[in-house]
Amino acid sequence: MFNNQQVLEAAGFSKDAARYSMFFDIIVVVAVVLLFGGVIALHCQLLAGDWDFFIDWRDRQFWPLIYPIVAIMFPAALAAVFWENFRLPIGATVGATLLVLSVWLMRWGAWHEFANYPFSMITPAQTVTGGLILDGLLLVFRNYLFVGIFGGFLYGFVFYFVNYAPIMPYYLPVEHMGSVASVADMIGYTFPRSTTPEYIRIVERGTLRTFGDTTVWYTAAFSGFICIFTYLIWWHMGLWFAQTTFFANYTKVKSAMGLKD
Amino acid sequence: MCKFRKFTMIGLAVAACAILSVLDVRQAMAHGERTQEPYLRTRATQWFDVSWSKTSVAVNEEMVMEAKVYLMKDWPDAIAKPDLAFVSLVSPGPVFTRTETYLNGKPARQSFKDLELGKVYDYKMIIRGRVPGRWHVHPMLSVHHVGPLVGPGEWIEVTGSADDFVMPLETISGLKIEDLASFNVANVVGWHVVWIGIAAAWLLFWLLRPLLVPRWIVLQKGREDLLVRQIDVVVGAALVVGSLSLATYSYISASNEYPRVVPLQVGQSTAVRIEQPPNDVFVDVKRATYDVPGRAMRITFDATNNGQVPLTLGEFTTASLRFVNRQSANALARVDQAFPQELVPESGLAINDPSPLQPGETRTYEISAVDVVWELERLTSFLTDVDSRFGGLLFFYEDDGKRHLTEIAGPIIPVFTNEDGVAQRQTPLETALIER
Repeated sequence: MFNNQQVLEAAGFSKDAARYSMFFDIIVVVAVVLLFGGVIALHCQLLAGDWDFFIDWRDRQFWPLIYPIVAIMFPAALAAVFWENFRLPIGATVGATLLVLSVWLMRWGAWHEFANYPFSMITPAQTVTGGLILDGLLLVFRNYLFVGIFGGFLYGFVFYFVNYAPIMPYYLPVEHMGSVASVADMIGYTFPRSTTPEYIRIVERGTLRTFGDTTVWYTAAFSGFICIFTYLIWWHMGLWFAQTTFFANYTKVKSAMGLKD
Repeated sequence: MCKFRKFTMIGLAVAACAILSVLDVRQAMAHGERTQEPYLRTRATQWFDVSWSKTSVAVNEEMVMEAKVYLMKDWPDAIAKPDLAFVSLVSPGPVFTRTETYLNGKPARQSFKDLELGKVYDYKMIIRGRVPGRWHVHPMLSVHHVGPLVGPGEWIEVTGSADDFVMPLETISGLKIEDLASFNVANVVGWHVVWIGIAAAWLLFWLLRPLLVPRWIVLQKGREDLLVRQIDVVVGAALVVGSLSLATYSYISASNEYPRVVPLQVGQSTAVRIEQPPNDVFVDVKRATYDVPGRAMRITFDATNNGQVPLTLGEFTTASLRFVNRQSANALARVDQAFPQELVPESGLAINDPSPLQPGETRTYEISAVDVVWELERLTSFLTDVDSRFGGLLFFYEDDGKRHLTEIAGPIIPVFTNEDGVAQRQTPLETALIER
């Protein structure tokens, strides 16, 4: 199935060298999981957290717009590093999978166990679908510009639909005290967040810009459009951060550090 | 010298560990309501007639929290007007669940707009025990661009097992939800497992090969054909097509299963007007001081009775503290024994002339509210406010117990020492009151 022996021979690796190389790979994989699992989750929490924290915040305009734009950044950077240096089309999938696993861990530990919020209120979104599409297209096109244009767009566009499908039951209508509410609204109301009042939610209203009674098609398309540029920019960010540059030591600095010339 | 320093450092570290190991680290049970700025608690809202139907409930058992909240006309300039507000409660997370909420008798699941200053609002909330423990629970009004305005808190015991909690609900389409806390979670987890499973398969497809160093060397040698084969490209294309197909399937199947869904509901309500308590007393503040060493607020004001019956000053309340005229039976009758006693200072309210204010009479009152509770409740920082004002409510009573409500507010002057340079003493009136 794989041409492992051919690759090792082309690299000039002996049997022992291949074994040591595998140990090194394992260390790097563990480091990537721990480091980027935390970093990507923190990044999304800081830049788009509120829209994904609670089920009654996931409106049809801002959640599918903001979350994928933020969540594509690190996967794009990782994709650049893995592809340009190792021809591994896994960076976006690694980033997206680590994000969803880290957020699940956080929701379970910090929100459910520590703060008593029910899982129905805090289930996270996932961007794994978009990551898989990005990596698959990278393999097909072998060109980051095309991946950015087509993959970036699909990453933003499919986010709402793959995430809305599992949570659609939360938007069933309920009658409560004489008015209509969605089940998501009821979850937000029933389990109080003392300093998160109802009015603080930013939810799209009005029907002036709708298509089939909803703005979500426009939102998904616009999200995909922005994701194109986000992907391209963060691809270069990834390469820039992954480069190694050596600077000659400045004499005065060496002297200050107690080092002789 | 060096050895001495090393032993010193080791000794200090051991001592620090020993001290830390015996320190009594306690769980924070309340939620810092005393840290809220005094101008918010004394000049924005005044909570009164606060009651909790029970102080102990089992898991799933309901209780009622009721209160009246007055929005001060002397609303602080530093905060936004209550154009948008949400009726809520303060508790340590969702240890209780909300069942019903009302403002002036109108359902209050959503926010209210255009609340009026100088009006009293009826607050009512029905809550259910969820997580066992002893929890501090307050009524609260959240105001947009202001934050939470918190009423007095009571300790409520929740007994039983958290595992027994259920919150059933029925949708308009007739779907019976057994427990809102776990509803549909398995479906979400299931879909996430499917996608993560596909991702894991894709990653394994690549990770089971020589990875970093060999691939980098091979790439440098220009043998990219060994790293990305034609079969890999086919698998990649299949991954894209498969992912898009599964995404489309998941959306269409869910849409077919749930054809009638609604977006999040965010409509705002307007509070209905309710009958306001009578107010036949006009109050004009002459001078107010806060005696720092004496922990006493002293207010001099003129009060005019514009009504037809005599009225007795019964209570001064601010920031949920209740300084009650203990010579007034009607005022004492309003103090429920179940109300948190730490908010009802024993010293009460000292009044220079507690006799009833006759119809048409104008009298100069000198009242004193003396108690350490000013410090305990962290209410003395109006000494550091830029506008240095106080606020509160005065309750006057007719002989038959009917209550008149009057806002009192004005500038306040700190008193640090008397003219001799020593701390100001209690006045004879205050001393007599405290001794009594």
